[in-house]
Amino acid sequence: MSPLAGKVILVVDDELGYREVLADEFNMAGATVLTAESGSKAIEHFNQHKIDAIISDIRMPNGDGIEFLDRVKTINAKIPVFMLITGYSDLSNEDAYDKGAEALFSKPCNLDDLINAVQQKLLPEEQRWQRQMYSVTTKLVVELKAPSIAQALQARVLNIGRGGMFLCYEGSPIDIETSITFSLRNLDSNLPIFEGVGICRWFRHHDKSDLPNGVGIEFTQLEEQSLQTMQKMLSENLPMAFIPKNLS
Amino acid sequence: MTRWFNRITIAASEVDLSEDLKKHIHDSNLVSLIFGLIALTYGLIFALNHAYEMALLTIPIACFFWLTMLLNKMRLYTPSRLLICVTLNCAVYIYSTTFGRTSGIHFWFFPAMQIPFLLFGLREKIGLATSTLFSVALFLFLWSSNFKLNLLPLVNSTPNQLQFISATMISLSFIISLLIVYYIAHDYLRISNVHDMNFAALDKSSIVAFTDISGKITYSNAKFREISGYSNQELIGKTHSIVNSGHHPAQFFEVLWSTILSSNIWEGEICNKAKDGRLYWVYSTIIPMTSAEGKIEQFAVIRHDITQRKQAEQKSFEASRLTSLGEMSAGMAHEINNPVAVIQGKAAQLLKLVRNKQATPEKSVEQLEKIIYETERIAKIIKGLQTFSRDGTKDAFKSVELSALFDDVLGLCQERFKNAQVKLEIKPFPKIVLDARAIQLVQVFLNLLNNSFDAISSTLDKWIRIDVSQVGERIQIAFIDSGIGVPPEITDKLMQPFFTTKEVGKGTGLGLSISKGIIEDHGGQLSLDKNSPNTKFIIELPRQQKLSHDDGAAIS
Repeated sequence: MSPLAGKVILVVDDELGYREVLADEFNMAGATVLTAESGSKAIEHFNQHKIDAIISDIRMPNGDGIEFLDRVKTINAKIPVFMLITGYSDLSNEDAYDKGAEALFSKPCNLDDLINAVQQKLLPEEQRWQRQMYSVTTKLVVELKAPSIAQALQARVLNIGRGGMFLCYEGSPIDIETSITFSLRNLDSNLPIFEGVGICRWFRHHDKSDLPNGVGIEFTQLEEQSLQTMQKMLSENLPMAFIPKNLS
Repeated sequence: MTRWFNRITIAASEVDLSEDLKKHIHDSNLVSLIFGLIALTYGLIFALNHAYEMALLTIPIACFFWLTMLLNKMRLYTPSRLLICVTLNCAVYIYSTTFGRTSGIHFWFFPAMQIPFLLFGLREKIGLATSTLFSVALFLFLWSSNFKLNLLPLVNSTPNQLQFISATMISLSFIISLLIVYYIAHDYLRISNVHDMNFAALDKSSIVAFTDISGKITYSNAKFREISGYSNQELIGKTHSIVNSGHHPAQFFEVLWSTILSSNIWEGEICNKAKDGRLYWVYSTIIPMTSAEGKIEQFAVIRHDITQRKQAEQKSFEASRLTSLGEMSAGMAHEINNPVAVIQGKAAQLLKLVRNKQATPEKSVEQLEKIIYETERIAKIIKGLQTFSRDGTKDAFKSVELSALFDDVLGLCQERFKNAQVKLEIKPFPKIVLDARAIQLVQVFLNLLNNSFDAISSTLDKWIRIDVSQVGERIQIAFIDSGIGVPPEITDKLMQPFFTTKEVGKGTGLGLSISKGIIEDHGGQLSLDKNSPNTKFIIELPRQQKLSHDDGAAIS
């Protein structure tokens, strides 16, 4: 049985042809599909139905995708999963993940990748961040010395979101889509306190803005102890950002 | 006599103010003035020699000369000339018959006096004919009646009385003559100088031509001959179609003619062709010259060479077109991306169906049809892009469907408008086919839309509406946007080249002036509706174009 069976997907795009393509694709994957041609129409659907995932275009007349994303995330940061499709760089990756989008696709995108991403993001956390979800191609080990996660957050070296983290980083540039193996170690015992694998979603270096330099990493797998830390953090205080772009 | 006068008046009104004639009038005025003074001088000499009868006779003669000046001033040229004839003839006749033998003035002097009339009249046939006829008739009348002036009362007066009368009259006449010299001659010379100087200045600065009511050239100045490459002989008697470049359609000249034939001044830019085939642009002002009754008698055509400005404009237009092309490219990337995404998606799905052996012919056909539809969409956008990036000034007129032009335009700007939340609405209209240079019209439409876009982009409720209507053979396309109109102080400058309200670097100020030029080339009009509460530009176009090359009566 398909992992998407019984799931309700809302497809928002002003382009009729593309709406059809996406709807067909999710229908074939076993999901129930609702469609809307604008952000304002999509909000109506959102208020009336229980929706598991939203795939939305950004540029649309009568309410664009970003506005729609903001409204949805103000209501509930975790559900549904929200993905943006864009034909043009209307929004930086940094801002999109910070606003709570969980994936960004550019038109035209590989539909299989899209379906896989939705399937994966609809999984519960423990399954989502299990080992070997993705094969790691490039390894970049980032070692941070901090006594604990809480102290690392306080020391303003990282910030953790619902699906990834922002890490202060001054080193050489990291390409987007690079797999990163990260490991935060205890300053005294040198034991790992937070480790796993992620994908670089954005990199910010020598930016003119006031934001610190760093890298946005989406988690793909977490070690067991780290997974528990994450689950605890998510249950305690749920940040709206999927990957924050700034320190807390 | 009344009939005579009627004819004389008609003859006078037929006189046109050509440059030569004006000079002629001034000459004859000067001659009249000098003759009058000579007559008085003679009178003075006679009086000093105690020939008081003769002295008195010179006074009316001088007065007659000055009367001719007055008539000239009243633009009654022919009567003034006749009066000179009469005066001189009478004077000579009286001299020769009354005092001829004693004063030594011989009768042969009389025909010799006709020479000045012949000289005056030579330049104008009517003047020559009437004055000669008149003097011959007068001479014959005087000759046959053996008319003699009865100077006996004067002769019988005592010398003292005569001396007193002639001295008084001659002094009075001199005072009058000085006054006349001062008021009329001075005034006349001043006016004529100013007039001549104006005309000379105009002649130096502008291309000047006069045509008759049918458009035939009656006068061309040196600048006209220089720019056109034609000689005076080649121009006189021809219409301006001799310099017609074929750039403008027949409608363009129809508008022009209907304007000037209704006694209105026409102004506009015209592309002309010189004798050697070189094209040049002029800014032309055609002024209908009307008679007192309001009848058009001729047209004054005053033009300025604007070829260089046109070339500069063309270059800047090129640059501004490329700039807007750059501005639009972002939107267009997205616009093309959409159909590409659909094609990619549909093709991937079809591939999957075929691989899984689930592809039914119906499903496949459906998917493929959609793919083809999307490729056509891309083709349209590309076509719009080609349209805009090409220079269409030398294209021939072809019949095109108006909605197809709008499709091209929308392909280029729809996306940008959508992203800026500008609602663009074209009110549905019936199928309209018109003769046009499609590329140029698309450029005009796009220019108007871009202007609207820039004007309203910072306002809250943003919309642009296009209304199309057809009245008879003319099509009206109105571009209305949510802006609140153009401030009255700039409406006049709006269509001028290089006028812009946009900040430096944002606009070239050429868009509207070029658009206006393009529409006028199509025989139409581009105007701003000042009465509309919203900003409203109206394009009026003829549905059909006629070939302009054969239009013989074209003023260009």
